[in-house]
Amino acid sequence: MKSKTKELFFAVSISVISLLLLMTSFTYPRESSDFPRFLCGLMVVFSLLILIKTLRLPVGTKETYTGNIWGRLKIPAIVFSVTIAYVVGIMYIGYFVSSVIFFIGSMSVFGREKLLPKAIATAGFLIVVYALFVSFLGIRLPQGLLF
Amino acid sequence: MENLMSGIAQGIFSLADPMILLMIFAGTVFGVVIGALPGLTSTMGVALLVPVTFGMSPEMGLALLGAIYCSSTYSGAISAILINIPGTPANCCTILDGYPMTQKGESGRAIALATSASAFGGFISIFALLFMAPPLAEFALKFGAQEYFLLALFGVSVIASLSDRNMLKGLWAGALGLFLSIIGMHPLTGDVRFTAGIAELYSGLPIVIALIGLYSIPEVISSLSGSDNSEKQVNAVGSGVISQMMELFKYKMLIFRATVIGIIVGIVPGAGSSIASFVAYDDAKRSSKTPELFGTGSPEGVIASETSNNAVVGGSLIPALTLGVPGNAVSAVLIGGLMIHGLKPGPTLFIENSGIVYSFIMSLFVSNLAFIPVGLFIARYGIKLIETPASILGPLVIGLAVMGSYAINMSVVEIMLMLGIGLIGFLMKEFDVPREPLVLGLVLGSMAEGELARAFSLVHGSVPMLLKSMARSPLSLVIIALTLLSLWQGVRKQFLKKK
Repeated sequence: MKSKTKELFFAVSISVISLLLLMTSFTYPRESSDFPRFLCGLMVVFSLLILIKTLRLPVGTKETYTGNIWGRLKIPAIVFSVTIAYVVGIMYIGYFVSSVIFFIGSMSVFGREKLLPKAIATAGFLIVVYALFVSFLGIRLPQGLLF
Repeated sequence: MENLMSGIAQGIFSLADPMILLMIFAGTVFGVVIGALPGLTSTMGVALLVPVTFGMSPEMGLALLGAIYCSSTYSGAISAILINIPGTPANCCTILDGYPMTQKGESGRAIALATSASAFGGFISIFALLFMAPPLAEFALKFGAQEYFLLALFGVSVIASLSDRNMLKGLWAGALGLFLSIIGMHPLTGDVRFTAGIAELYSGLPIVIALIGLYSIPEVISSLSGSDNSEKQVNAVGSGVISQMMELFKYKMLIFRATVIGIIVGIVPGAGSSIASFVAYDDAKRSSKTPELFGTGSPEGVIASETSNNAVVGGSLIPALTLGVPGNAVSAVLIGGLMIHGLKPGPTLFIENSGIVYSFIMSLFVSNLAFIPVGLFIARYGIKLIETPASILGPLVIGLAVMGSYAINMSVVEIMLMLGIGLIGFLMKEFDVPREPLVLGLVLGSMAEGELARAFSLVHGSVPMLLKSMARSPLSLVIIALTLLSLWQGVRKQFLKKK
């Protein structure tokens, strides 16, 4: 993907988002939405200026990367997916069990270290969490179906 | 003057009690740990231990709470420098140059400088508290709604200097940050806006969650995908740490200005240490001989941020002790601690309870020295984190971000909010949009909106009357002049860069 295409995608996206936010700001009572309207208006102006600036870029300028998009988005997609799965796990099977699954699982996905360092890191982290957050600060962690 | 001198003598004498020194040490260790863990703030640390002090003598209890306040404000720099997550909002500017220093293999130097800068800023601000409290407290009272609004605008004017790479994208990000900060209830009417029905957003987007998401998730992705190609060689704390700390004094004017900024921002109730660090960082960049190095690992950036945020400690206690008006959330909790011990903050505090107050102030001097060895000791082992493979450190950082977001209000929804902000942070990094203007907007937005609404209500919603009122207030005119100067310098710099 050429840089101009990428920048154009960004400029169009933020222009649409800014416009949508501006339109939404008009759905609230005027006395409590003057400031948001002003801010959304600013966002629209800046995003349109970015769009104009991008349109004036010559095609192919600053060709920053090559390769397929999936190759670039693979790690971010995995990071967000496993973290969302972790949070869902926290709600349904409890903090400690889902943390063990998340740490060991994601460390295995992202690296090839042996099981021992992964287990030590996981245990160390959970001991600190239990000692500081649960025992000392009295924070109640979600328990879910399991512990 | 005689009262002051006898108070100081009493305070120094009280420090001979080993129990007070023990409390300072315990508070420092606790504060360093709390501050270094993202999600746990200075306010939380002090608030948690207020009930613990109930059975202690006032001198011991206040020494413990003061030590937590000083050390937790400093130690957020450790995680900011090592893993690019500010431990507390006060350290949000430290990451701008602290983490790049780590990437260049200068983590030990960055931590040493952050430590000495924090100690210096904190130490001098306690002098201000000791000798200049009454006149400076009167200055704080001159701030009305319109001055607060103008102060927020002055803060926003810093955006131009934080958006070197792309001014337009920086301005858009700043506006987005301001917008995100006003999500929730309107400060006067109570109307709920832009919450998408999420009850956790009614009181606004918590800034700690935003900071965690904005900086932790994108960095984990970078390190796991190998796009963070920096050396990250370990530069141990301990080897030459004294000379690295002394390097601070090469920047005499910088630390002087950052300290003054911290003290002034500190005494203005509600302004806070994150604003101080942004203003001091901007000032340091403008006055530096090498402004182009800011954001790439400039020691001046770390020094400005850390000196000013710790200088806020003494500044915030000035109105708290002399007027009973807290300068920020932590000093509000500290006022609670004073009241538990039967002390009434206000003009008579220094006369009726001089022994306890001066003992507290003297203990703050010691606290600002105590966090040096404790912080360096903890950082010495924390620095090993850099050596940990990304495949192990990445999930641990995510785990810490998740725990930190949950701990604030014990809400799983807030973890999802953190992830949402993490996605915004990732996209901003991907499209080369600076994240710092967004953080600045988040810090200042709700203050700007609330104070503007109050200023308007005082003049019955009339714009000409508000402008007239500003023109009649010398303080407002000074802030307007500073804002215009800041904007002009930012625009001029961009213009010169283009030429």
